[in-house]
Amino acid sequence: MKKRSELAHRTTKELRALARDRGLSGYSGLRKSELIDLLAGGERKSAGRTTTRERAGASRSRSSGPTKRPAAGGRAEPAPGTLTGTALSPRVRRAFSSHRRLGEQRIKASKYYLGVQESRELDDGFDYPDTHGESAISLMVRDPYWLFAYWEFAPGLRGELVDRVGEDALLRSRTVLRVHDVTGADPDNSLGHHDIDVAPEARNWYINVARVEREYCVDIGLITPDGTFIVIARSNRVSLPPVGPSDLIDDEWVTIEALEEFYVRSTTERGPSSGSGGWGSGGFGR
Amino acid sequence: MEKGYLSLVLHAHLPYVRHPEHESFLEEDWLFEAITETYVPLVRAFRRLDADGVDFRVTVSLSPPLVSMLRDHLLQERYLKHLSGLIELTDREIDRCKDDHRLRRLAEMYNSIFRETRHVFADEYGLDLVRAFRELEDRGRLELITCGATHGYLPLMQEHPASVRAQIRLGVEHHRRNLGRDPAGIWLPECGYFPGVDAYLAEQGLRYTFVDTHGVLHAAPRPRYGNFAPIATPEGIAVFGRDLESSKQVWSAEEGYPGDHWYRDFYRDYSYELDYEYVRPYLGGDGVRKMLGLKYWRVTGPGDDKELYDPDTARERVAEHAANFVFNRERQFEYLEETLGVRPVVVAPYDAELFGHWWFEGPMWLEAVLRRIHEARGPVRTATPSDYLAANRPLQRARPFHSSWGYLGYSEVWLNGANDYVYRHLHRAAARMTELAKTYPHAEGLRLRALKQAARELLLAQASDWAFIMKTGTMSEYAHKRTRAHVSRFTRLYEDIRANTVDEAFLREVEWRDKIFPEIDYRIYAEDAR
Repeated sequence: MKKRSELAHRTTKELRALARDRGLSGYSGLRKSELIDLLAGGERKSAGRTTTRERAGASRSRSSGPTKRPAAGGRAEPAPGTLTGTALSPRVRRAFSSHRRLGEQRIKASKYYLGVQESRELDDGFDYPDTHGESAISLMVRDPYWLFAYWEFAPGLRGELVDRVGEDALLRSRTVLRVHDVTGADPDNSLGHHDIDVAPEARNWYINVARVEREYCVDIGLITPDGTFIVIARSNRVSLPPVGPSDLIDDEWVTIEALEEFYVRSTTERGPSSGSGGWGSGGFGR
Repeated sequence: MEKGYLSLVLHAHLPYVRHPEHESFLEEDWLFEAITETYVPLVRAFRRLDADGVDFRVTVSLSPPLVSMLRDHLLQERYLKHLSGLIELTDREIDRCKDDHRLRRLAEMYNSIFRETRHVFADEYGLDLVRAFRELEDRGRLELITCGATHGYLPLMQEHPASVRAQIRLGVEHHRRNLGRDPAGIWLPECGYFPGVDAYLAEQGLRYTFVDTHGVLHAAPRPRYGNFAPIATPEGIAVFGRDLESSKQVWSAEEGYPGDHWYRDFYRDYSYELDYEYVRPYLGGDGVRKMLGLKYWRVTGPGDDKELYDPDTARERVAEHAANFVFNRERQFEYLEETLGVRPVVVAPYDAELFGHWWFEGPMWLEAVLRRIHEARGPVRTATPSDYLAANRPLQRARPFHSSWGYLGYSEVWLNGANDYVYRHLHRAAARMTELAKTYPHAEGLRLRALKQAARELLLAQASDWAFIMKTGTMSEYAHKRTRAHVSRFTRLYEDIRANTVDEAFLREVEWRDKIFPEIDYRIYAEDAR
């Protein structure tokens, strides 16, 4: 299994060969960074948590909680009872995967390509502001399988914790993210949770969810040596998007009156077009 | 007799890049290249079609930063200077290549493109290309829609409703002010949809928007016609889903038309082969080698050996590809009508800059497609979402979820190890802006100016372009610096406003630099979520 950093040391040619060996398609026109994405993406299918990372140099998740990440762009074999929703048909999945190639991203990036590696100019000397002064955690949705949390601790937090649990117990406490399944519930009565150990200096984390299509909320806190969980901050709630088409099929048909009204307004305000198309054409769509 | 509707959507956007503090600035070339290669060629193609009586309808979204830059006098003058440089350079190229008729012909081709561009830009539209788009809308050919105020990616902003509202509301107001009409629809930046964003669209009187294919396919209840009919969200916004097939034919670098070996190569620029002293006058103040648009090669093949571009053969390929695209749509429409039992709408959205900039022959291809559809009078008819909604009123009620048109379909492009650190700063600034607007509801004088400028800094920091560029690596240092610069200017203003120590000299300087949305009302940040 190759990590991103290992892939980065390889030449483009080697990466292409690797992609070919793995039976991946659509790699021929890619640049190095894109090849790494492709290969790292391919790895995630089997590697589960390889992308879990942290800016603050924290160690990798030691949690035994999260399930493996299903395949990108589609679904892995569902573990019984863990995945809801309906699988995409193989045809749609094929269309999706070719549609989602990195080629499109590369074309979008060409908008900013000027044949120069880096910009020289722009006055710098700016810096980001210091912390707010309060302990807080925010939760964001990256995709149907992954959440992202970032947090900060108030400057006086350590002192407060020492007062509360004692210096020795604090040193032996674990810093954890407690991930609550709050689907239709509130965090104090959550449907279940799992803990992810994080380094005390970590300030953000990618969280692989235990179950898809659920609502989540995360606490950052401490587990003291006697097993007590102390909440430092609680996040907002988020709701994951579905991984496939809806099971709900009782459709409700509506007429949007506003649209009709809009049509009338637009045709009178704009007047008929000079040609035979669009607003002025009597025969449109009838 | 038509069997369905083809809804072509061109999303035109560039981030706000304007550096009055420098005599020339590299990233301003983003705009200059797009004007020469995309906006002017598209305008000219649409005008030719209109003059020939071709019946067509195309939707174009013009983002507020792009409109602001196109109407900005400083950038207009700089573009004219840039273009004059290119005309001079290609004049010299014609002379330099006089003994090689193939090269000389290419130099002449660019020279004549640049001269015609100057004529259209300066003589016909008086430096204001926005007029060209307005006129095409008046002629009933284009439907112009708006976009988020600074192309902020909304799914990662949802915890800050005042910021989401400001992105939508300022987008609509800016459109009204500059394009003279209420926009009927909006292109959500990066097609970034989240449940609840429809409420903000409805609040501003918008009627429709777009999502990627799975955005409609995964909606609940399950849409009966897949992504071939719009759905109505809980707030009554019509949502159109992107079509996979037509997208791929143009977007795919491998299977798509733009990868054809006879088309012009985007990455190779002849100026890198030329003597430094020869090209030096056309480079920026720093003299760093950059693309100058002398792209004499064709795609040729996957290797590095490239052959010279041959405009005649490329033109033939354009005709073939246009015919192929229309043929495929006809078959697709016949199939869909039969299968679904209703007339489908096939939505084909593209970045406008793909046409001409990335795919040199793109505008020519689009012109050929529209001409062919008109002449065939076959099963395909072009229609904008408004046209479609006007004629086909009942929509299925369904609720779309979080999605985008980025790689893998959600938010990973804008939230990954290369850019995730920005959100804590962006979110804090968003919360602080709301705090300011609530604390000072009736500001006047210097404080009023500072509050307006704080809102501008927040908006500019929120552009999705920065996170995208950080991820893709091209010019990423600039994206990091821009984000940091706007957040720090915001922070300084925030602190000065709170301490009642607004520094007029500092304020004047940032007003001069970050000059977007002169009319902004900072109080919109005081409004709570619906």
